[in-house]
Amino acid sequence: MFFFDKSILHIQKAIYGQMLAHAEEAYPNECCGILVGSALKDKRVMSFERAANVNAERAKDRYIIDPREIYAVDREARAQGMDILGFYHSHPDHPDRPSEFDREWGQPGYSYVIISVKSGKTVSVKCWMFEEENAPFKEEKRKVG
Amino acid sequence: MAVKVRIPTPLRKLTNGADEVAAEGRNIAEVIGDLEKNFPGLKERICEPDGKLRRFVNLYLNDEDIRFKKNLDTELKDSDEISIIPAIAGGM
Repeated sequence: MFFFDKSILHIQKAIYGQMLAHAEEAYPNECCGILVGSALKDKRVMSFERAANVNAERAKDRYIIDPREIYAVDREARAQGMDILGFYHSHPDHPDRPSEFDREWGQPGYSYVIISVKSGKTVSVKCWMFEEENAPFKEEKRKVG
Repeated sequence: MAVKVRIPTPLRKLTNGADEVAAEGRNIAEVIGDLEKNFPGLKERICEPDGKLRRFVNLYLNDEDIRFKKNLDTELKDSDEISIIPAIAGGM
């Protein structure tokens, strides 16, 4: 018996590039944003929104997305038959693994893309998710193209 | 009052995958009670054991955060739309 993890996050190349550009522009602060797309057939990011990091005091190592922004993006996505699939943020001078703080605030079912940026340049990107409320993050496969 | 409730991805396992459900109540607290009857387990994902809104959750009534209205006591009218918006934060 074989078990396959069928969860792959597909990200258009242009969107992927713009996410990395956002992470590099924001350095040495954390950037954050919202991933929008469809999960009907496969999980496919079709657009994204840069979000403001409203945690101004801790912008170097924390992020918070304004819920009003999430609400507005959700409405717009629904109007276009899409959905919020997840979120991205950067870890300046830090690995692309979710921190304890990421897990504490993480929500099941969403994809979390983490971009590791060193000295203003992207060094690695990984995608993470968990299904059940108390489960740990697991790496989610991603396909760019 | 009959209202619509927008369910975000993290809670859809509890609504059999539905992204929007109907509920009844004169205020937000009653709607949450009605949701719990139809979708057991939903209330504890929205409220703390003492009944207050969890810090991971924001509720919008139409376009407004209920924390800027009367919170869970905010009164409703027919066809109002409630959106459950998860709090999104993290860092290193």
